[in-house]
Amino acid sequence: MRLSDRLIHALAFAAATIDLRPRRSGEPRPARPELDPAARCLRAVPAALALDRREDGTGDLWTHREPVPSVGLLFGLSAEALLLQLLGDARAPAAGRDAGDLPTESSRGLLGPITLPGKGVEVAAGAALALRMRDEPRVVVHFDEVGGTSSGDWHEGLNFAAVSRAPLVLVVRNDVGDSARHTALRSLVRKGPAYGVPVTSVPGSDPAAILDAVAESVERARSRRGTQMVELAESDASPPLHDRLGVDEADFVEEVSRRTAEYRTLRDDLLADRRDDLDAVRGPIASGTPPSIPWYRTAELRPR
Amino acid sequence: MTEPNASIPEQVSRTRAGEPVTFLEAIAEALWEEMARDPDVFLLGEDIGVYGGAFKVTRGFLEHFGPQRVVDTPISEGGFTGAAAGAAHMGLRPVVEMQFMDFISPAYDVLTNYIATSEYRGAGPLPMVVRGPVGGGNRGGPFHSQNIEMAFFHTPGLKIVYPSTAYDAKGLLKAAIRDDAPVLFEEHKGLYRAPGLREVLPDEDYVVPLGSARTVREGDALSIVTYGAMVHRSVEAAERLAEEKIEVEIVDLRTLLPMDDEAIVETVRKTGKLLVVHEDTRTGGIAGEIAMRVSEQAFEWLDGPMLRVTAIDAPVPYSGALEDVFLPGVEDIVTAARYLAKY
Repeated sequence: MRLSDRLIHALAFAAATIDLRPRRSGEPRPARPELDPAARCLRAVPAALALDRREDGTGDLWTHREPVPSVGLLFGLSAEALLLQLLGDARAPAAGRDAGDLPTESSRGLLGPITLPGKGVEVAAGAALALRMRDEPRVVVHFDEVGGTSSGDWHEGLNFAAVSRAPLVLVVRNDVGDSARHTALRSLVRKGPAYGVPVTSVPGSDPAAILDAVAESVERARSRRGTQMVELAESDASPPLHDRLGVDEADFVEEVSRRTAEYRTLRDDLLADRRDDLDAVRGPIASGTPPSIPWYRTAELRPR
Repeated sequence: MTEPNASIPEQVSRTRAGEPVTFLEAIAEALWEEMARDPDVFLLGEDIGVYGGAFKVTRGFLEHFGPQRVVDTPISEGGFTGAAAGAAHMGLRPVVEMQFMDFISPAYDVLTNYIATSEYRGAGPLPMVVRGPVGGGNRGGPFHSQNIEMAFFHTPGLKIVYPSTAYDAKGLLKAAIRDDAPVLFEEHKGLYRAPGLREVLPDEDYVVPLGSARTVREGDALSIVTYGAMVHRSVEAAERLAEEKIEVEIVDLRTLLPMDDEAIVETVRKTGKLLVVHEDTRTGGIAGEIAMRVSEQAFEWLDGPMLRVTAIDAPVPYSGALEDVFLPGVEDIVTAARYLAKY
């Protein structure tokens, strides 16, 4: 499947899921570049495409901080499974316990979303170290955005990965518009080498360039050249997406709209048949130690 | 420090206009008034300036007080909490906003090892407040719904405040900012814009002293000791129990550290029965500490077992249906109170 076709599916899925969890206040979401699901999708999907994706536990591994549910489609998850996960439905992998946009399924290469800033780098570094210790020719990619770089954990995780020569590729969105708040040194091109990590910088608005840069970094990490970083930088003069992808604009837009309608239909069908599994929360009680059982919540237990 | 300009945002103008305020507006008014009163008070946190805060508590503050006193920080809770301690050493009174109190964990080290021990070590008091939204019921899932009091309750040197009304929120926050000890200030996000909590506040500079509980409702059948959002669920339960001629006394702790032992002992001596209600999870919850204090100070007055209604020992679930089971509800309180009353 061509990159443009992958992006059509990804953008359509992002559009169909953006309002799945409406804000309680009813207010529209503020326009913040880092919260734009389409922009995030256009950067994460090409990065994920660079991995050797397999469903038998032998492929590369992916983790991310900000929600990009569309990436799940690339790892063999069905749109239905992803929607159930986002809905917190009983039939989802997390059974409603968590709202993570992707389930953790290491056999598919999904380490799951790690939303705590900086923690994802640490966890990904450890996973990559495990691959190196086992001498497995696999790589971990962590997709982050520049806000995470200001946390102490980000620095500790990256330093640990570099010292360990862990096969980790850190892809950082640095085109979210407010990076000055997070880092005085605007470009990561100079920051990475301070850790001993080479950095490739490409325009965040160019999916093809992202795919190429991440693919090259993945292969370097796979060939034991240690931790790598790819910066998705701001670009002032970016041609429109369809030009970058070499497709007709009208056809591209029409296809995204058509797919979005399909995903919306599926979403609405699932919403109409939403299910809850109360055992998902009672489970920890049932399997827990007696003091954790509130007697007034159970039919079986009564005091005295 | 930047001189204030004339612009005053809507959410801090209501009391002056004689209008009722929400819980959130009461907090905003407290911050505003303390910043206006004392130039050493300043704010720092994620998105509190340009964006006005995730819940808009500080909307308009940046324009009025300027960027030196409303500091937008990177995503570095450990870093900016430590920086607040440094500013406090220099005589300022920082108020740190955690975007969600769940995010306080990176600051656990500096809060417990450095800030809480400062005065005891002879390094001087560190007058600072760390405030932010806590609590469930908003479908926030495991990372945006927690109650954090018991992670810090065991740390001598800290104070912990958890108000339940707009009046208390404003008065307690002003007291916390003026206090020389580091104070953790928990704001239940379910109360922020709750219509039932709107009230007209005194148009004067008042504080609610830290460490003082409040009797919300008098009764003789049993005592409920609670705080935060659970005060309102307990009141709802008490109203239902009153229909069964079970009159419940409710004590709102308001401050968890230092705890008002006197108020707890007094109500137990009056009713002889104690039910502790808290939204935090069960094991290691504050109910255990309260029960032990009552055992030490009022055991002879007890006419029944001390019971607790709490959240279940589990992470906060995302699914609404699961979260409703997870959180303590009115029915749970009624069931436990009815049992205790008839004991």
